[in-house]
Parts: sequence; structure tokens; C-alpha cells
Amino acid sequence: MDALEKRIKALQESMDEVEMPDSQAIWAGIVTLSEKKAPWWRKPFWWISFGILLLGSGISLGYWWSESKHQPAEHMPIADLPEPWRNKAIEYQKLVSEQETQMHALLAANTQLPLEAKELEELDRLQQDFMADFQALPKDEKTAARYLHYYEQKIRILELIIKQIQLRRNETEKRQSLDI
Amino acid sequence: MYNTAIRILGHSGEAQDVLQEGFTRVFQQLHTFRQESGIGTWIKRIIVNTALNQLRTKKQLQFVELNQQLEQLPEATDTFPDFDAETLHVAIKKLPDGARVVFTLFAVEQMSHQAIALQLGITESTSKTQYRRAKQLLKTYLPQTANS
Repeated sequence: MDALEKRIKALQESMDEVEMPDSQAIWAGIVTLSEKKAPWWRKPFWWISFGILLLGSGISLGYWWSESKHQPAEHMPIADLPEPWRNKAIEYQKLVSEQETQMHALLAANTQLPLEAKELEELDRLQQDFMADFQALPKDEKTAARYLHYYEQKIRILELIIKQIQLRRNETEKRQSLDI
Repeated sequence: MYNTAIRILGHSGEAQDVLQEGFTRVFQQLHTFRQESGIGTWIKRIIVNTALNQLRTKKQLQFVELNQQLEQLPEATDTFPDFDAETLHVAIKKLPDGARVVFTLFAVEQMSHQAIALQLGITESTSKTQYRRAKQLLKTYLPQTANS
């Protein structure tokens, strides 16, 4: 520490009293600044409202997905299918119905849908197109194979979706038990 | 604190604004005070930071290359004319922004060059150079101020 620094240290207290502030004006300014209204977007009310709106939209979207997009698709008519494939089709339709029931039961507790749900939606649309053409198509082996192919695909995708939902559910339960 | 703000900003009107803004922040952030230091030190830190922010906002803090200017100034020796607090305060106010801020933080507020460098976003070496420049200038200013 040199002479200048030593001198300044000695003057430290008086250095803070050289100029005196206008206390009244400063307090008035502090009061004004404190009372200044925060911009609307900084108010907690708006953030809470936004959060509720977002949550509401999420729930509605989830409901719309589960109620409109994942309604069990109407089964294709089987009466016109030749005998050997008709039995197979009945078996597939039964299995698909069971899987869809299981999926919807799981969705009630877990509305988050796995990516495979999109694939199912796409398949349902293709199946609807095929159904529209079905009456006009010859009821031969080729048509029956196409008919059954849709169900085979659907069974595979539903199986995947159910597994994904169950897996996610198990992970959540495991995490919750660890948190406890 | 008011005088510290004046020495950082070089202007009493701006120091008053800084005191208002700084104390408003103190009241708003009082719940964040962790008692790791004294309340006075904590408040002073807020006031100093507010003053530095004000200085940065209003004018670009200049920490220009000083080597050439330093050569033109007499070497600061250990001998300074005797001065009182008021004389020093007035002389500090005459210093250019960069030198004034560094001198105030180092010599008056007892901050290290490392802390000053961090606070101002400059190198330690620049802080030391600015301090040396401030001392050289003060050696010139102090007798003038004392006489006037």
C-alpha cells in the first residue's frame, strides 16, 4: 500500500460525507419507482392464466385424440368373403376389438400417446378406403389377402402401442415409488 | 453510498437516480439476502452495480490503449501533496471515466484488480494500467484542486 492509498484509507469515513444527498427527493423517487406498475406480462395472474389455458388445451387435445382419432374403426363386412378366409377374418376382428378395448382402458390413465398411434390412424384411413371399394371388388383370394393384411397390420401396431403405454406407465410408477 | 455513486458516475444528479434505483432493488430483493456478508456491504454492492450499469447504459466505458498517453504523463511517485477528503473527491470527479471507475473501486472501495476486471469485463492488466493513469492524473489534479 503506497502513501496515497494509506491516506485514502485514513480519509475513508469522511470520503462518504463530502456531498450530502437530498434525502427527501431520493425517498420520493424510491416510492415512485416501487409503486411503478409492472408490465402486464410480468404479473403472476397472466402467467397462471396462461398455464391454465395451456393445460386446458393439452387436456382437450388429448381428449380429442383419444375420442375422435382412436375410436375403434368399423369392422369391414365379412359376409361376402369366401369360407376359408371368413373364419380367419372373424378371429382377427375379435383380436383387434380386444386390443382396442385394452388400449382405451390404458389410455384412460395415460393420455400421452406413443408415436405408433399416428401409424394406426394412417392404417385406419387406408382401411376405410379399401372398405369403400370392397363391394365392387371380386371376392377372390387376392381381395381376401388384402382384407386380412389390414387386420394383421393393425394387430401388430396395436400390440406395439399397448406395450409402449404399459412401459411408460411402469416407468412412471417406478419413478414415483423412488420419489417416495 | 451517495458519494461512491458520484465517484463512479462523476455526476451528482446521476448518482441520485442510481441511489433511487439501487434502493428500490434492495427492497425488491431483500428476500434474497443470505447474510453471507453484512447488510451494508450487500446494499453497497447493489448500489455499485447499479452505478456501473448506469454508466454502461449512458455511455460506452472507454478503456482505450493507454501506453501512449501514459508516456506523456509524469511518473507517479509516492509523494502526493497533502489533501483532505473533499479535495480528493473533487479531483477524482475530474478523472476520465475508465480511470475514475477503476480508481474508485480499487483505492476507495478496496476491491482487487481481479474483482474489478471481472466486474467491468476488462483484463487485470487494463485495470492496473487505468489505476496507474488515475494516480498520474491525480498527482496533477490534486494541487490544482487544493489551490482552487
